[in-house]
Amino acid sequence: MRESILFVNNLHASIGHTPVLNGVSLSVGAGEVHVLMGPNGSGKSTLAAAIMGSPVVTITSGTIGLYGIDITNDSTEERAKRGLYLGFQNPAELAGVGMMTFLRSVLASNGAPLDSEVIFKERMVSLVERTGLAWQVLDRNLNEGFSGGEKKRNEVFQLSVFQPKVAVMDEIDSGLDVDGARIVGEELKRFVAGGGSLFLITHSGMAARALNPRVVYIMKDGKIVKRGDKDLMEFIETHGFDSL
Amino acid sequence: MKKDTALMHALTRDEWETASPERWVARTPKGLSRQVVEEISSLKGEPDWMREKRLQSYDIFLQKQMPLWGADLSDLRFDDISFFIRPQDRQFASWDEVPADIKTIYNKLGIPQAEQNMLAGLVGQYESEGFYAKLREVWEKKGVIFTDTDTAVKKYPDLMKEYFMTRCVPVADHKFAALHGAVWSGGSFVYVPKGVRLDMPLQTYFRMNAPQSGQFEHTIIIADEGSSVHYIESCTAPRYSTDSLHSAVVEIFAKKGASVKYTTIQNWSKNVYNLNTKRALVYEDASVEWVGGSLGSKATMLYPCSWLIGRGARARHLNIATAANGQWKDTGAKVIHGAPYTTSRVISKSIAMAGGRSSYRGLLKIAKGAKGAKAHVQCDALLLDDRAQSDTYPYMDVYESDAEVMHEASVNRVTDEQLFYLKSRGLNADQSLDLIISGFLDPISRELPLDYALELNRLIRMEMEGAVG
Repeated sequence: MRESILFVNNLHASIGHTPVLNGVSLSVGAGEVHVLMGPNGSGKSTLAAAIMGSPVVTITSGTIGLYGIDITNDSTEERAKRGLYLGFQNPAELAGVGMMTFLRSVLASNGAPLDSEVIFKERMVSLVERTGLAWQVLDRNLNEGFSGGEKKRNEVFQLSVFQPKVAVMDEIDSGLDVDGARIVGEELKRFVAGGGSLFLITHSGMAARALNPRVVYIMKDGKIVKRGDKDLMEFIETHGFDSL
Repeated sequence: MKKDTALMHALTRDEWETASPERWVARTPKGLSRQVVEEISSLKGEPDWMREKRLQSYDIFLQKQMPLWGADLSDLRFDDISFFIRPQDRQFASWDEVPADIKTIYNKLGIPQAEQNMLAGLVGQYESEGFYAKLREVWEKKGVIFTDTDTAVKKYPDLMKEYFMTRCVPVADHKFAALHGAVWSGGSFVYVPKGVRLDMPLQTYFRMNAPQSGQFEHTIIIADEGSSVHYIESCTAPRYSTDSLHSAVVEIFAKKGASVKYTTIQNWSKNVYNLNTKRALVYEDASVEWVGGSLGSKATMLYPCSWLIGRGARARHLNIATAANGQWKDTGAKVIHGAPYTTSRVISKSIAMAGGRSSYRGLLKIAKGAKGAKAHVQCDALLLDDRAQSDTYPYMDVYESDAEVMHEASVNRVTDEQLFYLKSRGLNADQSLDLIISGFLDPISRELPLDYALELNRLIRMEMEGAVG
């Protein structure tokens, strides 16, 4: 039996009093890529937020598991410490918090031994340039004044820095041009090749093209209504969600 | 810098808010009256001129009104305060001689070691009077004077008559200046001769121990032409349920080409009314820098003021204030450009949380004739939650058209979204807030010696404990 790394079982959740997730189940195995698609308002981002333990989402029933451990009641930081990562659709801006300070603080809090500042900066420069960001972005504050594209690339850059085991990426390719989407796809490929498991939420499937998704889910009205593989993705691109 | 010499090192709030047993060899009865003022002067054995000045101040105090603006002072009862407490009958020449109960808190804070390792001089004050004053020989030989103000009244009467509450902070300035003029006690007196530049700071440490007491120290710093000095003061008091009053006055005279840096980290317990008057007269080509952290107290009103009265005079004000749970900080800066080519820069940062109220109140005045004056004020507020409150009252009076004035203000709210983002990377609530607050304070913390910046961060973290979920 294939070990489940990220496991969601019949998850029901609300935002305020409004039910948004109406029984979602999925299971991502080690080193696998699963893709979630769906029309706007289907609950995709809420699912991502719920997995990460967002304070805005209330779980009304169901469970979330990571490596077989029930994390439904774990705090966000506990989930992160277990190796879970969320690439935000709209990353928050942290005025005054320098990128380098942020990166070092996170690594330090995970107990990682830190290189000297000079060596560390060099490493960050090479990683950040891989995502198509100018290295000067490292001297700015976290997401402060970043363009939409810069924010997305920053979410992908952090994957290579923090090296989580499971990444939930929420619409990482929307707002990027063709080249940007391609670069992101390549970074995600690297992530999976390095042993990471990927749950990719995408609106258009652009970034997913370079990957080899094991499962493609279609979500509608807070539920998964169809499962398939890469062919399903191509079908949606040609015919849209209404044709289902 | 070794960690051992850090200020307020490694104490928990409990430790320094714990009182020592009360001790006094003389004290005035609670409340304020002409008799109390006379008694203070007589206990000190002061010359007539100082006694007269006290009594004049007392008369002015009675006439003046309480301020109708600023922090809420309605619970302040002068009748319930002891205005003078003398804890010991003499000064001590070395730490060995200092009585154990006084020494305990100073030891815990690492003050004696700091003196050994990194200070040019130290004055220690307990309750109303200094018990210790030491200046390194090398500076003594150069003519530097650093002693407690009571000693200065007797030893340097000419200097005191010229500078004590005359043209910098006159007794009639306002009600609390007048109160101070009547009951002042302790504080430090610094005189730096022409051309002498101290390369280590002078420090004074104040400790109020008895409940319902007042501390009214008076500090005078005279930096003669071309000299330079960095003076640091810090203060704490134990926590009581009754109120205490701290109303100090600091007068700085930066003569031609001199530079004075004045650093304060105030961490009074939450029952102290902290109402101070700090002012500098800055002469030609001289500079004054005020660096302050106001963390404690029930209510603070403090507006360090720089009078730029000589051509090319400069002032810089860096101020951090925190307010939580029932605290009201009304702080800011006053800068008066009274001469050409003067420059000033004010950076004021306040953090409010959990029902605290933090206000910036500032005055920037550019007098006619202050050609080429440049002034820049930046006041930023950080609100950690929905119950925090921040206000800004900037006053700008510009009477000279050939002047450059800039004012920037910002209010930032720490959002759940920001906290969730940081937590999603594995940082807990404290670490996340820490990152946000450090980033916010960075323009000021990087002006502090590393030790102080670290301590300031630690103290702010302590203030926040449990303030945000």
